[in-house]
Amino acid sequence: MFLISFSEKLRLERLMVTDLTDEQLVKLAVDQDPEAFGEIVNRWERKIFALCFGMLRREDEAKDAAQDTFIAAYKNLAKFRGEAKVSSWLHRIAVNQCLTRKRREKTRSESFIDESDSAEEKIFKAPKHLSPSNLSEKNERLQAVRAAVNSLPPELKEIVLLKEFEEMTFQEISDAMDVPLSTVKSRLYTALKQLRMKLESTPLEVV
Amino acid sequence: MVDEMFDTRKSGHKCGHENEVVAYLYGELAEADRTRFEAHLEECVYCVDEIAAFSAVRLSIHDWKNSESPVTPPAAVEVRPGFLESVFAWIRLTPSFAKGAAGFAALVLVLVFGWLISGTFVDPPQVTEVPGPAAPKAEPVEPRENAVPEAELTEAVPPDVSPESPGDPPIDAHRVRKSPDRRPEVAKDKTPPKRKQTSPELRENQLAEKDDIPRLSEFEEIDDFADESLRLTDLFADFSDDR
Repeated sequence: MFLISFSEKLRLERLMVTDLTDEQLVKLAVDQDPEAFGEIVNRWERKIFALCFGMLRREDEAKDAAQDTFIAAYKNLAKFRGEAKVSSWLHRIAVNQCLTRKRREKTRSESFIDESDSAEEKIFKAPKHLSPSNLSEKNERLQAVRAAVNSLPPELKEIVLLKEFEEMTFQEISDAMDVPLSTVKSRLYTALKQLRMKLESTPLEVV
Repeated sequence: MVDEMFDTRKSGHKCGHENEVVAYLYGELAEADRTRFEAHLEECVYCVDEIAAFSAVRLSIHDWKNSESPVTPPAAVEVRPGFLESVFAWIRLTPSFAKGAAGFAALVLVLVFGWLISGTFVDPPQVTEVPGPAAPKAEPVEPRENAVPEAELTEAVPPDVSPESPGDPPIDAHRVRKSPDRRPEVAKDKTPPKRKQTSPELRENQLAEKDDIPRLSEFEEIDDFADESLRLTDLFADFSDDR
């Protein structure tokens, strides 16, 4: 044991951390190694940011909300009892953070919220620090997304393209396709669900 | 890693708020509906999970949308422009006056080239008769001493005349008789004319042959009065005999 160097020990510990479950990491972070919480952040950073962005629809606000979520989770590690999953716990913290921000902005001024809603689509893009730095990995991810969208049934693909690329409202799509408004929404829901399944089944961490 | 506890893919849970999830995600919920749905989010982990997952899908789609080159070509591949592409690139890069000068020079070249080509065809080459397939040799016809030259013969009837009825004698209709005694010699081996003679012409020729009466048209076409064979005195001598 004395023959093992300190760096080798850290490497072994790192290998051990990645093999642990979320609950084990939380227990390790509470008991011995606060650095183990970093592995939890690495695992859930993208999804928590996506949730915050889905609720706030602003990149800077979503970044702040995601950061506040992990800070709040780290502060309350000791209070985590293991009754629910770590991911559920993180999601709940993130939702609370986003709703708190929304209520705070609403109380400040109504006009600010309206402006943010109108400008949300213009700044809708993934944060740079979550984007892969490796160009080949980025291209593979983009190819996976493109293949997933192209593999959708025609009626679903059309709605996704009209909504995401043409940025049409639901009413505009309903008028253009001559289908009821509820049908447009249900088709988009089905399309997003299929895309989620296709992208999560790929080896790359697309979503 | 996906939390299986509220993984809506496997559970297939539907809380009845699917349309609201989508509308909330794209910011198209009315304020009152949005407040009510956000209160629902505090309780429904399935809707929260779907909002997070669908938002991540949207982020990926927008990465694809905003990327300039979704698929970066390999750096080792060097695409060389073709000849036309190089020409078009040169056209784009050259200034206007250079383009005009080049166009004018091209026009001058085209005109010069066209003049040279047309010049070679001003004097058409002389056509020399190419010997065709061997024609059947006809026996030379030895003209008689007083035979009528062929040049003076009328061409009243084309050579392809055939008798109208089988019983009629063959008609040498390609030669019009000038006078009863000046019946030109006809090559015996000449084939009968092919074209059918019209009725008036046929009748005239038949009458002329039958009655040996010279026709007025014969006299009108006679040009060479120096020819002793066609002297009027000889012709009128026939009439005097009939009287």
